[in-house]
Amino acid sequence: MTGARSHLGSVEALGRDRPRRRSGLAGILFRNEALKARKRPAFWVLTGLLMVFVAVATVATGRFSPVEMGWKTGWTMVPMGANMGSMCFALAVALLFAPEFKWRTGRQGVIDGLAKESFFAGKLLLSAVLALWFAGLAWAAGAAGLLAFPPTGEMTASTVADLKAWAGMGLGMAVWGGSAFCLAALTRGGAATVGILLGYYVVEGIAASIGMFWAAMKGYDWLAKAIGYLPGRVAEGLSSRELYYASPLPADAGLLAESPGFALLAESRSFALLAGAAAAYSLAFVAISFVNFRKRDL
Amino acid sequence: MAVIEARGLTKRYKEVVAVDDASFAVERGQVFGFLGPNGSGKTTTIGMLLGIVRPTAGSFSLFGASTPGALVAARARTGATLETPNFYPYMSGRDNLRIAANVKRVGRARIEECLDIVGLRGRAKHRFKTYSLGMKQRLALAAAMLADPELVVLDEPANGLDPQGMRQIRRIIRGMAERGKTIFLSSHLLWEVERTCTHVSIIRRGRIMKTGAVSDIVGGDKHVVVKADDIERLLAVMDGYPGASSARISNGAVVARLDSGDLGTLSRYLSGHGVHPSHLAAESKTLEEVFMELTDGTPPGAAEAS
Ligand SMILES: Nc1ncnc2c1ncn2[C@@H]1O[C@H](COP(=O)(O)OP(=O)(O)OP(=O)(O)O)[C@@H](O)[C@H]1O
Ligand SMILES: [Mg+2]
Repeated sequence: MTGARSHLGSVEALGRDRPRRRSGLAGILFRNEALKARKRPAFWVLTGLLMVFVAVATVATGRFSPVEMGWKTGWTMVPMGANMGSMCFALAVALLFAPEFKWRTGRQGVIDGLAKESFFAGKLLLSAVLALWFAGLAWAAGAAGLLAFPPTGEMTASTVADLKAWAGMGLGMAVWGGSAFCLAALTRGGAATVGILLGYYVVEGIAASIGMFWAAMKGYDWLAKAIGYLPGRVAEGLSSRELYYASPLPADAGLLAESPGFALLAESRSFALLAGAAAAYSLAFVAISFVNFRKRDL
Repeated sequence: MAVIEARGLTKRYKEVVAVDDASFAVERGQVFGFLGPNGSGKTTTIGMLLGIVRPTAGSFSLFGASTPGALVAARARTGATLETPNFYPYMSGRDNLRIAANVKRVGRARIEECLDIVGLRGRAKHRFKTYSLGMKQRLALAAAMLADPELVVLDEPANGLDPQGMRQIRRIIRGMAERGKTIFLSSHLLWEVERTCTHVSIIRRGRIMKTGAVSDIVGGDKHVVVKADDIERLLAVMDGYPGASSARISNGAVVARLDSGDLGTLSRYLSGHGVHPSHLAAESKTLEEVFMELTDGTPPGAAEAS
C-alpha cells in the first residue's frame, strides 16, 4: 500500500508521535483482528466449550471403549475433535464477521483508511487464523486426553494416514467456515448466520438420509452419488474416521454395512473427490461473499 | 487545489433521489458547513466522499485524488465520522481507538493525547456500550483527530452533546482551524454553523441551493432600518434614494434594501432632504432567514419528504 506508506511519512514528519511499529498492511489487519477476537467474550466461550467437549469425548472413548484400542488406534481417535472444532470455528467466524455490519465498524474501518478489499482480506486472514486455532486446540485436547488415559502397547508416531486425515479435517472445516463466512457477508447478521447455518445442516442431514434411502430403494446410483456431494455431506465425510482408517469396532462396521444406502455412500466417498469438492465449495463461498461485499454499500 | 471537490454527485435509491447533482469545493483552511434539514442528503453526500456510498453519477476528489487507490490513501489523511459513532460495543474506548490508530499508523501516546483533548481519559478503560451518547460522540471526535489529519469531516458532531460539550467541540474545531486544518461539518443547527463555519452550503432535498462564505450569505443582503418623526415623508424620501430599493414601512420604521453606499451617505442624503432620522441602522439577514427562504420555511430539524 503505497498510499499508507506515504502517510507514514507524514505522521513522522509531525515529529511528536512515531508509529509503534513499521508494519505492512497484513500486519495491521492481523493486529486489529486479533485484538477484536481477544477482547470478545464469545470467542473465549467457544474456545472453552471446545476444550471441554474434546476432553470429555477423549476421556469417554479412552475409558469406556468396548475394545482394547492400542496406541495406534488411540492416536487415530485424536483428530475426531475436529468435528467439534469445525462447529466452533464456524460460530467464531459468524460472530466475528457479521456484527461488523450492524455495529457499522466495518464502515468505520473504510472511513479510517482501509480499502474495502483490505477489510475483506482482514476477515479472510482472521478466518485462517481461527481455523488453525480451533484445529490446534482440538488436536491438543485430544492428544492430552490420550496421554491422560494411555492405551496399551507401543507408542507410535504419526503416519501418512494421519496426515491425510488431518488434511481432510482441515478441508471439512473450510466448508463449515466458508459457509459461515458467506452467510455472514450475505445476511450481515450474527444470529441469522448461525440460525441459517445450523438449520441448513440439520435439514440437509435429514433430506440426505431420506434421499439415500429412496435412492437405495429405487436403485438410483446417480442420486446417491449427488447427495454425497452436498456441502454438509462433504464436510461430514471428510471428518469421518472411516474415510482414513478401518473401523476399530468391527461390530459397528457390520451394522453400518447392512444399512440401506451405505454401500452406495461408501462408494462415492473417495478422499480425492471429497477433498476436491470441499475445496471447490470453500472457494465458491469466499468468491460469492467477495462479489457481494464489493457490490453493496457498507 | 481544493481539498474536497464534488462534481455533480448524485445518489438515487429506487424512488428517492437522496443527492441530486451536488457540486461544491472546499478549499484548504476553510471551516465548511453543510447545512440542511433532516433527510436532505447530508449523510449520503458525506458517505460518498468517504467511500461508503457508491455514487449513482458524478465524481469527486479528495486532496486532488480521484482514483480508488489514491482515494484510500487520501482517506488515511482524513479524520471522519459518519452519522453515528461506530465502535465495538464490547471493547473499551481506548481499545477502540487502538483499532483506528493501527489503521492510521499512530502510536499509543497520541491515543492518550486525544482522549485527554475530548475529556475521556478517565473513562477510557470502560466498555464503549456503557458510554452516554455525548461520550460516544467525543470518542468519535477523538478517533477523527488521531492522525492529526489535514482534513476533518464530521457528520453532525454536536448531536447529543450538552451545551458544555458543544462549546468544547467548537473550541476543538476552532483550534484545528487555527492550525490550518480543513474542516467539513454537516449540521441542521443554524447557529452552530453560523458560529463555527467560514463557509456554508445549504442543501435541500438533495439539491445544493447556495454555497459561499458565511459572511457573504448573511451579509449579502443588507437592510437598512430608519426611523423618523414623519414616517410617510421618510418613506417618500427613501423611495427617491438611488442607493436603496424596495422601501416599506415595518414596525414603525422604514426598511429598505441597501444596494450601494454606506450609512453616512444615506444620512447626508436624508439631511439634504430635510429628514432627520432618530434611528438609522444596517441589519444583515441571519443565516436562519436565508435558510428559511431557501428551504421554503421548512424549519431546521423538521423531517422533509422528498
Ligand atoms: N440506504 C438507503 N436506502 C434508501 N434511502 C435512503 C438510504 N439512505 C438514505 N436514504 C434516503 O436519502 C435521503 C437523504 O438521507 P440522508 O441520511 O443523507 O439525510 P441527512 O441530511 O443526513 O438527514 P439527517 O439530518 O436526518 O441526518 C432520505 O430521504 C433518506 O430516506
Ligand atoms: Mg444525517
